[in-house]
Amino acid sequence: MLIGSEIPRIVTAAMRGGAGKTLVTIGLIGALRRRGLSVGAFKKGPDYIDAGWLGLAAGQCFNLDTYLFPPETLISSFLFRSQGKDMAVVEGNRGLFDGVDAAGSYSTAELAKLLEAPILLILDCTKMTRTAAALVLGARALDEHLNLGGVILNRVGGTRHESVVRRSIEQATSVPVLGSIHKLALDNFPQRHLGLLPYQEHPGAVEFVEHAAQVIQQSVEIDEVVSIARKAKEMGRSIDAAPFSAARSCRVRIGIVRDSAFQFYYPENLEALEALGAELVYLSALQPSPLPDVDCLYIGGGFPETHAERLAENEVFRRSLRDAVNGGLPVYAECGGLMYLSRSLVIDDNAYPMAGVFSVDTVLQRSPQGLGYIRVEVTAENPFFPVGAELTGHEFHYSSIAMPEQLGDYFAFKVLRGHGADGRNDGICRNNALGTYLHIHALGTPQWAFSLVRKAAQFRSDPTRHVGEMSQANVR
Amino acid sequence: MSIPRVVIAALKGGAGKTFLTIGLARALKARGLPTAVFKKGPDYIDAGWLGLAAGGDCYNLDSYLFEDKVVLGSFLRGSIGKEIAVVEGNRGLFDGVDSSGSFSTAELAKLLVAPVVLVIDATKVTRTAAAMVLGCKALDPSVHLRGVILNRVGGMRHERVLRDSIENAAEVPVIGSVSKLPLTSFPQRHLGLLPLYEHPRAIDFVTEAARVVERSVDLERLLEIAADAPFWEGDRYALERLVPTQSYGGLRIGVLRDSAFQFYYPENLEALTGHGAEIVNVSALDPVPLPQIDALYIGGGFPETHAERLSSNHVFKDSVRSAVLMGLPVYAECGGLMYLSRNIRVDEKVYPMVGVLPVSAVLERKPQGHGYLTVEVASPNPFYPEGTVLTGHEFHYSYVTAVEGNEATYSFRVLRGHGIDGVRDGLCTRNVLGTYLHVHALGAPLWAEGILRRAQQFRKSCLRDNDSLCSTG
Repeated sequence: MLIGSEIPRIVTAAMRGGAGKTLVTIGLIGALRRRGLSVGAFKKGPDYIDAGWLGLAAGQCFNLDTYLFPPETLISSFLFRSQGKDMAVVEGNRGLFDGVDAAGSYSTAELAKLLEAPILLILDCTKMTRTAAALVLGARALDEHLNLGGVILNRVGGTRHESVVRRSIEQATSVPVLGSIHKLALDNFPQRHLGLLPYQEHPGAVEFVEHAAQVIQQSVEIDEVVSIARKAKEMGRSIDAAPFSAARSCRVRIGIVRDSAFQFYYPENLEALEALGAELVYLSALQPSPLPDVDCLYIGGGFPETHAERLAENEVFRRSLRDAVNGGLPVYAECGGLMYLSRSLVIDDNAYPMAGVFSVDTVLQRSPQGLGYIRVEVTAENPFFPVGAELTGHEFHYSSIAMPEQLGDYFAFKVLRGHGADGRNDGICRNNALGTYLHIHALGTPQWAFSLVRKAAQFRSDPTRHVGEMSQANVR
Repeated sequence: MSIPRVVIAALKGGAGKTFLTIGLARALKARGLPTAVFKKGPDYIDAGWLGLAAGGDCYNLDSYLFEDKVVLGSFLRGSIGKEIAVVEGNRGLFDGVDSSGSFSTAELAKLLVAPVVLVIDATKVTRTAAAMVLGCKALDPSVHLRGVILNRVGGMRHERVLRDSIENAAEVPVIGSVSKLPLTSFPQRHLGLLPLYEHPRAIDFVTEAARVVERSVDLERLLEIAADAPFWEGDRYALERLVPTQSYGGLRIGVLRDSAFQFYYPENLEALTGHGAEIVNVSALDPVPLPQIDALYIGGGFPETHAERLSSNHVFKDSVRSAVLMGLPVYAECGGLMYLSRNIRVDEKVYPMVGVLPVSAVLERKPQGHGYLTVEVASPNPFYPEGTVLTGHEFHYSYVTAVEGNEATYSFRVLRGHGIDGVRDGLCTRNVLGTYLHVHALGAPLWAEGILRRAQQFRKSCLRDNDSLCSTG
């Protein structure tokens, strides 16, 4: 399979986080689709929430991250997912040149150069007029190799504000202003934890996407955007394989807890499991039915804190999960999943009982406890990774772990970069359950899916196993 | 002129410029350096805080309102006897009234031949900050961008990445880095700081700001930058100063000055006293009648936050009303206009005010007028000759309802800005004028003259008629 690299493409970027990039990108995708164009949507960096919204607008969204994936993997993924689309829209993250260091490594600018894609700069014009021209000029001056295709003014206060900013930019730079969005058009949007509310928790998500599409259609010259995207040069690369080659070596059933509390799954992670022969069984921690018969369970992140009461009330599921772990079920839990496996989740003065797999409590704090890339070294025996392996992913959590009581729990990871559970350790283990604040991406860590499937196969063939039926018996 | 000087600017409003400038002024004062402070643009609140911090008056510099030579003269006069001058810019460095940035902070810095230190809000940005600095250098290379102060920095790693990026890629030294502070305690209102008069512990905040600056900014570097400002032969402008006269000696001009009415440019008061008039400070909150005066000047402020107290002070309100009936000249700006109206409506509540102007002031949730305001005097009024063009600024969340009856007229036609209703301003009745226009005496030389002349007429008419009858007290 050879996939061409002439896909029209654009990267949306801003001078800093919080400029309204995601809402504009959602609307841009919606507006392009209204024109009958099929859009491949991508989100730069590790992120589930923005990607969820972009996926809602485009049909699907995939993450691109040069820090987590090797460049060839990233380009392959981009081309493979753009297959059959009329245009690709990549939403950058943070400021255009913000990377992990002073050289801006792994920044949105670097990604745009890797994809040879023009940049659409979204400028927050709040409390600013002509100085906006200095920002555009600076963005062009800092890296001449960057293709700055156009500017969209966001949060303009009125027509006079717009015309001063527009003329300033056009007089001082050669970058065209392709649109102007009024400050009230998109910003009445619910936020949480430094970003958007997940679309799964938003009561009118689909309507919002339509609204954003309408706003962008009225405020941005879509033809110009498409024309700039089409001017992107052929990348001179092609790919000859899907990112995951189907192995289908063993048949296992892997449970995925997916409900409005747990939503953070990269589509590639699920595809990687399936490619290795796993059948995915979706289940909910909010439904009062016991765990079904699965060979392994994957619990991603989410917002257990906003569902704490309902999760706590669902004793049937909690107990069946605890029993299953006691019976040896492999469980891989990330972030919100780790919180759910703890004994209780403490929010302000309330302690909500959780699954009680680990003998620790998690406590919701008021500021982020870990935010950014995390790298760990596997230092102790655990169900999934060999000792000595290094894992890279990201973390973003407002919860911390209260001291464990050492009832058979231990940490399997040493933190090399980032925060993890306590700044030094992560990867809390008990039996075949592992809970970690590290969100892993299958494209960056191919061995992750193998480990889960292998462990599932082992457990499946274990003559002493009992999941599902036994816990059901317990409930009765 | 060789006074060390520096302009503190930012890329947009809200970057924390005022807080840092307040802290800087105080920290310099604490070092024993007499510090002159200036605020760019029309603004009372920031200027109030800066004056408190520096322990003296803060003067506004605004090339839109004053001729350049008046700006220079004011800067030089205000710097006499000081060892350093600190000018706080406004809005974004290059933001002016149009797309070429006329009257921007950058233009002011060039006029003063002063180096610029840029405050950068580091929230959610790392290396892209270097692009911002680079862009400022590129947009106008004749601005002396000499240093950067990072504000709201998230931690040591954040600071290091920002500092290295800016110093390497933009080649401007980072001379300070201020951590993200729990400054929610620094009170804001109406797009800015709370006026210091309303702040219970204003001086504590100034001290706290100074502590933050001392801890986070390399003051030696800042002093070097300020001292490095080029020598410049502009001293002759200082000579063009107001020559004091006694033409209006003996006049008593009341100025309503309390925690509700605070917005007075020091130059306006100086313009009155410079001609021999005496300023009599009066409070609208004390239950005491108006003293004997020849004219009353009511500046802006926040009558809405004092509505209950103003409204229940019948003694004072009644005395103002009867003085107006007797012909007392009253010049009222913005909050003063609201106070002279029949009532102020805040949400569902109606607070009766003085009631000499047959309108109601209604407080809205959004600014009704914000920016420069230019009016032409279109009909007879107590203070200005017809045909005069006045420029000042307006910033009001209130509007006033249409005039009821024929007791009052609008004497200004709006040429730019909003005024009372987008086309008119300058509500007049008897010897009273109420307007949303804040004038600056340096930009409106006729203003002081108008008040003093009318005050003198009033005094003469009182003496002619009957002194005791006419007494406003």
